[in-house]
Amino acid sequence: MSIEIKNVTKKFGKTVAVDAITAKIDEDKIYGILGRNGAGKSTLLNIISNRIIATDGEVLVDGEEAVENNSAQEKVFLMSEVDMYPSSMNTAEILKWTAKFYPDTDVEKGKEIAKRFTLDTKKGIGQLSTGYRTIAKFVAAIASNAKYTFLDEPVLGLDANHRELLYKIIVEEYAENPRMIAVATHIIEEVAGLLEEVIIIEKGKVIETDSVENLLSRGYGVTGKAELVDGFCANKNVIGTESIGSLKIAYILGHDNISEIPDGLEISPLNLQKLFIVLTGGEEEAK
Amino acid sequence: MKLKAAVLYRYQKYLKAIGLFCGLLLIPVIGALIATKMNNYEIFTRDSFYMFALCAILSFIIGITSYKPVFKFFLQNGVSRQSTHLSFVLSLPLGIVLALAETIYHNVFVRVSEMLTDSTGVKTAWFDMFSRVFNYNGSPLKIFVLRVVIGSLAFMMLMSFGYLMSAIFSGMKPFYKLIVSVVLVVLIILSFVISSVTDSYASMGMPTWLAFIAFFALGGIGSYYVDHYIAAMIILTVLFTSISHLLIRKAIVRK
Repeated sequence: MSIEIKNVTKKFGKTVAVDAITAKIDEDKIYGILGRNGAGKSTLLNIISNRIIATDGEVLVDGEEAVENNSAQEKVFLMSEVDMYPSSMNTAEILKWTAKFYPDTDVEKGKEIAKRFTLDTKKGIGQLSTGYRTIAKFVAAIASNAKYTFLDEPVLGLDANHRELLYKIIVEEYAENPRMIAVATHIIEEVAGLLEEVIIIEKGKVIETDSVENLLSRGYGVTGKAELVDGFCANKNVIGTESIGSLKIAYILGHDNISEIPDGLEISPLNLQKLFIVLTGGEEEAK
Repeated sequence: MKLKAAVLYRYQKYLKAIGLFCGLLLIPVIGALIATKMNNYEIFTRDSFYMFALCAILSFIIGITSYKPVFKFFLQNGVSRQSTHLSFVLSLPLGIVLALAETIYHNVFVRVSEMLTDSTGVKTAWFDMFSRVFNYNGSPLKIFVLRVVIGSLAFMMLMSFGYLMSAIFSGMKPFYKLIVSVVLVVLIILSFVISSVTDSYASMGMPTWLAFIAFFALGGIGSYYVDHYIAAMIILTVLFTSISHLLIRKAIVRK
């Protein structure tokens, strides 16, 4: 059982937002749909959830056509950046109606999550701050129990405490009620620890789709004194560095001479964000 | 499941609006009755069309608010465009509820005002705009039913018209919205000019939009037939909902 995206293209006038994307999203996994701003993440999610219609290609949800298909869409929930709820509707009403449209919705669970965020469920969504609006949408998404739950930029406007709580709830939810949860974001560092699978989108194309484990096994990090690290990294494909005082960490693609690590240096896993920057060509642009 | 929930949502939303409207309508009605009683003054010589006009405005507003916010809410909940549109069509019978409420109000208002004025010796001069326009008569039940039918069809047509207008505007870029708005304003001004020329409609106190519809639907000045009207309302409702359907098929939410 999965969502199959087959050769999907979306054009807005002359702009190609999604360019012949083919990908597969399996059930019961936590996905990261990663991409820079304007990469096409939201457009792809909007196509999967029938909010916009692809120019070409098709999306199948458990083998069923996703476009204009209520039965396929009963398995898909997209929490988006755009406010789709009437501004006068409060979270309690949102949960009530989510339960009518998504039969597996657990209203009590939604109320419980809202309570953990200290969200006032009687306040109209239009009266809430950006952060609490995001929380209200997140509450509906998690409570829906939809088989394929997509969270598009789920931490928009949230403070550090709420962001941490949100990630914690995703993990708890996944442990208690395994289902596909996809987080679409450009803030890689925070979500890296959550993800099992990653789909990286750049300029409307999927440039990488793999498990996080496989992606991170493409390289490694070395930590130690700056001069030692610099010496070791000579002639290696360094994709990023970080320094704290006299200590330095360098991320290296490939595994050349990994067995020849000199004393004073330690091996650490590759950093997903550094890899993402390399894959999306961001660092070159920054130079 | 999705369609059922969508229809339920629309009914709950609109019945709430109609209920609130009926409640608010009581205020001027009761106020007028009290004023009559206190002043022993014959104030009920006005046409009950005003109550009908208020219901017509409400129908149009329901239609306008039935598109964009509901479309967004339904998309959020995985409802297809087809089901979104169908749920609107299935909510059109709410026009009957509104017409029933309007007719009941009309009858109660007439009876109570007659009772009040008769007790003070003042004669009321109530008249029913519809019976005047369509020249219908018969048993009170027949007149009641006919009034409900006439009202229902008008309200359903106006709901579909509002829905269509909203569908057209929602899909437009701001520049085109401006152009259409200007054209509409010009048309409205023109309609006032035309209606002031067509005395027979103006003398009946009919608003411009109804005068236009009457002109095209009822065969022109002096020939008003209920069957013409029914056919015209049904044709217009079908036309408006069909065009809306074409517009909603590929509609998307603009940021």
